[in-house]
Amino acid sequence: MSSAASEDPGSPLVSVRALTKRFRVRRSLREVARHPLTRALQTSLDDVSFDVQAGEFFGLLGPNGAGKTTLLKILATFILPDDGEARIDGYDVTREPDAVRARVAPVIANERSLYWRLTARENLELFAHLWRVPAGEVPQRIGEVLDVVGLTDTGRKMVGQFSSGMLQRLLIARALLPQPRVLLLDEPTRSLDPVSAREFRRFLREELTARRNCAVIIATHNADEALELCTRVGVMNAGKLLAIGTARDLVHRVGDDRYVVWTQTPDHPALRGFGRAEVLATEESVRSGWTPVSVRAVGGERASAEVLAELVQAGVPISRFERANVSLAELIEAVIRTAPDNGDRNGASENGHK
Amino acid sequence: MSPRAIAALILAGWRTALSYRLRFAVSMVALLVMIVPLYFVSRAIQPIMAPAIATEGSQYFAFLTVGLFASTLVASCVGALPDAISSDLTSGFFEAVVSTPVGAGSVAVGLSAYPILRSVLRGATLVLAGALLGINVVWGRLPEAMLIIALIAVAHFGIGLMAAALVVAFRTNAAIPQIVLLASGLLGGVYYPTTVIPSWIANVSDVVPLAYGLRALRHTLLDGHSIQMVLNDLGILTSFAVVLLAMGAMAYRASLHYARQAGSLSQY
Repeated sequence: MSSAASEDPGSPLVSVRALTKRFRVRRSLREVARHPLTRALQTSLDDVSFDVQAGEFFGLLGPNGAGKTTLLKILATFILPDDGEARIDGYDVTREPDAVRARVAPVIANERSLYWRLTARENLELFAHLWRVPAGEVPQRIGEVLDVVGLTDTGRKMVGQFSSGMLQRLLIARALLPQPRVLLLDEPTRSLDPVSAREFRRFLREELTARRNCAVIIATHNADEALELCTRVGVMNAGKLLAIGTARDLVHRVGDDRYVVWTQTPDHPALRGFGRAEVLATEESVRSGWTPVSVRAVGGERASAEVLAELVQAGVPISRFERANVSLAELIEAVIRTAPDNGDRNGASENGHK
Repeated sequence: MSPRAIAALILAGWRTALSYRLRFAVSMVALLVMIVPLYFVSRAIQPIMAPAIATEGSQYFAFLTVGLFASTLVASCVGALPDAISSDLTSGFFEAVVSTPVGAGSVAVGLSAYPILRSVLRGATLVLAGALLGINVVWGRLPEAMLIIALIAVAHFGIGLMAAALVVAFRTNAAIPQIVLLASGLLGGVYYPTTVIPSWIANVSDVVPLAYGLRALRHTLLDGHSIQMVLNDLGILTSFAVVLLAMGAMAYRASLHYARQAGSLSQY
């Protein structure tokens, strides 16, 4: 497939610049009657900028309504942006939608978007023709994608008889038919069992990004996908991209000052000197008699060493001292909480907040 | 236009219909059974209708059979696309199709082609069954008849595109298919010739494309008229086809743009 970006190895496969989208808000009849000429608009994307390279796995995190799906739909040419620019492989999503569609494959998550009275192969055959897969290659390509998602044996089964997990895999197989340069996934493993989800993530990492050098953009609420799969993640809230970086960096940054002390005296006064000491009782702690307590040590490794020394000096019995794990929810909350003025319009900086 | 994409969508529709084998068989049998009472009722009122249809085949059974064929065709041309888009928007299939590089025109034709072809097939079966029961079809005029049928289909597909545009933009067809079907049935000459329509409403009949199409179709297929002899009706029908198709195509494209702007293209 010829491509604008692939001719220049330095240019990103996906390039988003100051992308903004506002949707009209439906008003009540009374409001329309009172102010017939005004329009109520809600900003769904606000000055979003980022790049994704070939072979990169980029995660979009954020609460519901953050703008993740709107962003994916603009990249898939389903929605026109109001301002800014988005390019796929060098092609503009607004001005060159046909070229973009030939390179981007969104995974449409709706199971009803398949013909349920047809077999998996027949469904894929239809979309292979719509995707302009060379006619002579269609059977082979269908065989390949069915094999990749583990549905080879069920290719001749009617889709209406598939389980939810099988339908999800078939939807992914459909998106892989055109051998896309960019794959867009919106919560792709929500209907998969844990084993299938892990297998699917392995496939995405090994087959798509490592072998085929695709760029994958994934909107997810799943910690495994965000922390283990994504090369980088972007945290969004209220249409803004608040932070971009590797998931580990963001976790490290957000959880940097939080540590867990395992002690037999969780009420020791010395513990209260380090932020709001929070007792984190677990089954293990009840059994062993050692209770985890969360403390804060602002100032990195040196500060944590000082805190540990002070606690030992104060006679606090300690069996373990470790950095606190940060959940995905905590990470998102922390990024949103610590983001400076949301009115700032300079876009998110690499490894940093706005 | 992508013939390959259109053919793929037709094949998918055909395969789906075939998967409901019993329903498929029953619908064909019902069609053949329907013609029997039609035959006897037509014969019963033949003496009353004969003077009015003297210039359009003169045989009421033939007149009615051709009228029903055209009416079935109009129903599918006007309703197939808005119906398909309405259900495909709900299921997400429309989103899946428009995410491919296939153009908007091919998608529109592809989604409606199977139901339209099916109605043509059903109509042809009806005419064939009628021929077995005594309709005097001038088979030599079949090419002319097919041209007229194609023009009827194109003109009404243009209206179907406008209704589909409303579905894409506002999730309603504004009852356009029903209004067109009603107007075609009452004023298009399906059950009686347009010459018997009262003068106060005859002017409305002038803007019903089926009126011209049906008159031309009966003249060629039942009376054996040549193209030159139906040139007047054919010219007006062609004008309708060109104008309505252009208007429909513009409305459909505008609706897709509007839906992309409003973010409603993939809302289901």
